[in-house]
Amino acid sequence: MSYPLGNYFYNNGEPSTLGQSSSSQSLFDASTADKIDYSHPSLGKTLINDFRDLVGTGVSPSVLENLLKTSSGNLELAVNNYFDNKMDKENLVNGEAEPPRPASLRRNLNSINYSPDYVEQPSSKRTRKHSNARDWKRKHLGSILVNGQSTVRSERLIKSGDKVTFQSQVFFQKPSRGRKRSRQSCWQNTMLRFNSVNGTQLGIIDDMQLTYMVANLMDAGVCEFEGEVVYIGDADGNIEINDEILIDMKIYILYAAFSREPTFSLSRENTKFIITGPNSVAEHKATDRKNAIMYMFEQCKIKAKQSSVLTQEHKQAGTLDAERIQEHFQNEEWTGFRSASIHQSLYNEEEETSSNISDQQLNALYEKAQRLDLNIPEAEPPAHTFLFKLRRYQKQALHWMLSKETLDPNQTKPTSLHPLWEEYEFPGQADDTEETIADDQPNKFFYFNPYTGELSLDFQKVDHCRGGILADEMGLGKTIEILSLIHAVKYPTIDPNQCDIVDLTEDSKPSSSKSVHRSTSSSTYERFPAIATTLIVCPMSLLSQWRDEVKNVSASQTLSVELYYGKQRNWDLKSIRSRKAILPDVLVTTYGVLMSEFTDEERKPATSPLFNVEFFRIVLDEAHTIKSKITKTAKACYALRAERRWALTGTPIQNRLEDIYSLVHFLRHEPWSNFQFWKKYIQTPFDKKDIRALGVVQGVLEPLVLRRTKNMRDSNGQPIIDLPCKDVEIEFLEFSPEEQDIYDSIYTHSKTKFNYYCQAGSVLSHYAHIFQLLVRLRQVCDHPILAISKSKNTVDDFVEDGVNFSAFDAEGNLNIDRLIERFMTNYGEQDHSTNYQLEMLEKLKYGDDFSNKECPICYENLVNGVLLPCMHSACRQCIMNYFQSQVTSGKSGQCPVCRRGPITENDLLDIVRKNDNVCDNKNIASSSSPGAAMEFDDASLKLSAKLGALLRHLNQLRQGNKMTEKCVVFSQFTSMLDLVGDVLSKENFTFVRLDGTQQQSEREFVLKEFKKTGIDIMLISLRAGGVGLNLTAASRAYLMDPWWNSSIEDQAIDRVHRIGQKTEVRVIRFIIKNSIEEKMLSIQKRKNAIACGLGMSKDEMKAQRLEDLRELFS
Amino acid sequence: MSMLPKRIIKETERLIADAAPGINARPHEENLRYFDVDITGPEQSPFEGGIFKLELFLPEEYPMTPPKVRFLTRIYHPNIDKLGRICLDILKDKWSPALQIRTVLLSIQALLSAPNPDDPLANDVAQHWKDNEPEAIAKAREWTLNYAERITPPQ
Repeated sequence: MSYPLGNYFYNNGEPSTLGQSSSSQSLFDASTADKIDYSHPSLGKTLINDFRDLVGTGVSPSVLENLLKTSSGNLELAVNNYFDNKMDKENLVNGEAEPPRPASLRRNLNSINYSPDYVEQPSSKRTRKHSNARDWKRKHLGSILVNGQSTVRSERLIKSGDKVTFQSQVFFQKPSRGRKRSRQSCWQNTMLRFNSVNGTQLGIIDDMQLTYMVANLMDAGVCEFEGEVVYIGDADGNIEINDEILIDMKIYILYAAFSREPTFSLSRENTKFIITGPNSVAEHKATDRKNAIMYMFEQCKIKAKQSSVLTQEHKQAGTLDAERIQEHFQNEEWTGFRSASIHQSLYNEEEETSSNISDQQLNALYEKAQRLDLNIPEAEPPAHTFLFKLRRYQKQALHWMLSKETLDPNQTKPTSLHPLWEEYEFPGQADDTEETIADDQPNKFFYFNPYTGELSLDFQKVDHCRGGILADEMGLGKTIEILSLIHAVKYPTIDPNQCDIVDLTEDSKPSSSKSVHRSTSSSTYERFPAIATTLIVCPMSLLSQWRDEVKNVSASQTLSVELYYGKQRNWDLKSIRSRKAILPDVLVTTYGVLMSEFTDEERKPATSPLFNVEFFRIVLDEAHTIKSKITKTAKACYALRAERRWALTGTPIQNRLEDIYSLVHFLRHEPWSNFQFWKKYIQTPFDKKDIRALGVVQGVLEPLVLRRTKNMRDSNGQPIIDLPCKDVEIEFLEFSPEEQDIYDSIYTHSKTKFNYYCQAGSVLSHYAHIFQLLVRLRQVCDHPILAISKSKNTVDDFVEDGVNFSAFDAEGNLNIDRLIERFMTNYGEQDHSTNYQLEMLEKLKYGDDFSNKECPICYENLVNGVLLPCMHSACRQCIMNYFQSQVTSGKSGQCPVCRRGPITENDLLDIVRKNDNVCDNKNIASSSSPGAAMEFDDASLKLSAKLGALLRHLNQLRQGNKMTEKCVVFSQFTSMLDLVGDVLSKENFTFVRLDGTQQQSEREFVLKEFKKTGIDIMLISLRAGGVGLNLTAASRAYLMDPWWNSSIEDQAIDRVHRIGQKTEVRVIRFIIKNSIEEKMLSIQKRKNAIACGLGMSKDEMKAQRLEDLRELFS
Repeated sequence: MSMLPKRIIKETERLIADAAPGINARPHEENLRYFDVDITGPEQSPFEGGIFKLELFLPEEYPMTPPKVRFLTRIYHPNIDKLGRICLDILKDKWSPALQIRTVLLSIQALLSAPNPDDPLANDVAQHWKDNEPEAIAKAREWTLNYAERITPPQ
């Protein structure tokens, strides 16, 4: 036990000024002080008696009077002052310095406190000068009376007034089993000793909390402690073991505590995150330090002069201690709001580690934001420059954005404190004879962050978040909305000249380039203001769309736009600096460019224009790109400089709550952009399934997010947008008998494998392989050839592998087709070998194994490998030697492995390893070049069920003269698009194609072409076309194959069915009956049901996955 | 002699590292193309309980030509003659370089399990087998006991 006797000092604790400066509100106000002593209120009388009880009767009335006056009626204070300060020595009677003390001291001190509130001195006017005058080493924070126990027996070893030193000692080192130590054991393990000045051990402080505090603060280099004996039981200085010794512990905070950045801190500007586990050693130490500081403040009765309401609440609720929070939440009954997962993307390659978030939860999260959004007033963009006519809800968005960019006048005070920090005033120095600290004296204040434990002498400014998350649902026109904002506020309202002047003077230096280098090598490298430039970061596929949109909506010459991509980087840092380059109003770049420049910038600072320019505004399009805060792209975005920051995304939370944290961090929305803070008050409670976390998140998102959905209605009950209706139809098809055979064979093969994994219990660990099997099955549903051929057209495949397989026929022409044809004709005749062949073709397709495939003859890895018709392989030299030896013994060549033959040299197919990755994109893009491998005679290319159905539909359209309706054909397999392309060109349809292999410029071209009349059909890969694209020129969509997750398909459909669509949209999804596709469909359905219902735990999810797989192979 | 081809080294390594059950092959230290081989008589065959010694030689042209294999232990078998020569197609015209020592020895082991008197090398034995199989088998058993190194039958 110790006795936190409280405040030993008071604000201006100079004895000489006590009487004058005190303006307390207590009974013993200075004006009435004279009257008190013996006659005044009974309370005063009691006080004095109590004081005398404690201190002895030898105190002179004048001293007493002074004491009482200055202590504002607080007996505790008075006693403390008396002993601590020895008061004004002239006022003390000699010999009274060591008065006899009653043994009941403890009880009395604890129980007597007449002034229930510590009366704070009215704070003087604060000036926040960051003076460099840091010539002090330590400052007195306060004193605590602590109760020690002697551990020695001695005579005359110490007496009152002797100095003692403190020393913490770990006396019992438990073998730490886990990294997690409980706080309790920390205390037990440490002991606080006090020694005499010459080092003799005197005793220990028997108080766990105090020990914990002192030990941690000493270890962390935050504080120094000095002690002075104020009372020992025996006035002669004889002590027995376990004798009580009262010590006045003076606490000094060290200058070093402020200058040293605690290593665990997450500095706000810092882009380097330190992601550590909750129980990591560093974090644990940090928590210890933080708690120790807070405890110390409490003991010294130092209170924050300025602190956010939020922090105060948290302090009161005691929630600042993470452990306490957790315990709290663990006991909490969980109701309805389950943190679990949307059982999402079963077949997503990416494993989600943290728990996902369900649609239901998402709706709840957005609910609040959405409700309020209906009543936002409207704002008009400047009509003379902005040509587009905004819809009503878009005007509302503009108003909202304008208001977000205009700072709340309450926040614009430059002096407002960062909400996570608290301001403290250094107390007067009790043992210092310096004159009163002047108001403007440097380092009068210091700052403490109770969340991270950081201390600072510098004022902690709040970073204002100007911007937000525009989260309107896809198709509502986020692009237009943000463009209207750019038109509405193109320049900062402050005088830009100021910045110019600063910059120009810099530039006028002759050795400009050199000075750049020098100035930037220091830590405070400067940024050059791009005062009127809005930087837009978007995915590559949307690059040109942004540029076009900017041009489309702007009256000519009103808004300049440039791309910053590829070779189109027109300006460099130097030219910006020297004002030679004129920055455009809108600069569009991609996440990829951003990331690569960020990498360069890290390696060689101050080189990248993007990161050394202070933009006027930054807009992240499809901002969920940076949902993972540890990715380089995300870090690059954090490092961008601009006051106004916007994030556009239709899905601010994709899977996990943490997704949105990254956006909040990008926006610098204090205090939530601090990860510790976020984790503590949002993430952890949320993961612990605390219902209140929902409220917190709602509260955070509400002012930050604007989200409207397509089916929202305005205040008049009208839908905010009305699109022509869309009709989605599933067309069930049946395999032809040949297709069925092939499908069945592959299906059986896959099922066998799956069952094998099932029995071995290793399904989930062979996930990738099973996934491959599934892909093949799905390809067969499109066209059997997809599953067995390695088409030259699927350029993305072999670019990845770096392996290309070419087949030489006698003329030396490439001909893998022949191989496939041959295989197809043989199909069914040689059943026993079919599986092997299929497997090898499979390997060919995936570029598998051949690089380290062994020649069956020389046992070396294949050198100039060849493929025999039976799909066995060998070195060309080895197999030729063998043929030679066969021939000399009068036999014909045959396969050494399976003896199939006769085989001649002409039958050998070379396996060509392709290293140069040169591929002819042009051909692939148009997919109509005669050299493309996928060419079949009319006879050899049989239409698959799906191709036939598609062709039927298109022909119907053509015959009905309805070709004014453009069509989009989606498939997730580029090879399928190849086939469709071949068929279409044979049938004389005109079409364009867009897939992931195309460069940006090609894509642009394709999109433009499609808008022209005469091009009727676009082939597009599901994944490439999923985001952002605007395909409203089309009104029909054909989805050749289903995706695991219907939302991906919906997204694709929404490319067509979005704002700007004028006619009814018809969507047809082709599904093969009784195939894996039909099963996928039912899984899709169930998933949607699950997503709407309750979430699932991780284990449940695993079980579900397995169940899904079983269903597929049932 | 030219350098040992990599194939032979690899085969040898694999033979030793991952021996087939009942087959033991060790190269001679002075000539790595020459192998001492022990084949355990397959269960349920008249050769059960015996260990048969063979020699195996990889000619210069190997693997384009088959290895040369001969029984050293006397054996009563229609496809193996008095000199221990073996009548097995893969050791002759059905040889393929994709075959290897291991497959050859496994084939020989299989041959012990399934004698083929229709394609005889030792005509008298084959005839015996055809005329009176039980008697021939009994004789093969007797030979095994007499000539093949004995192993204690498992209790």
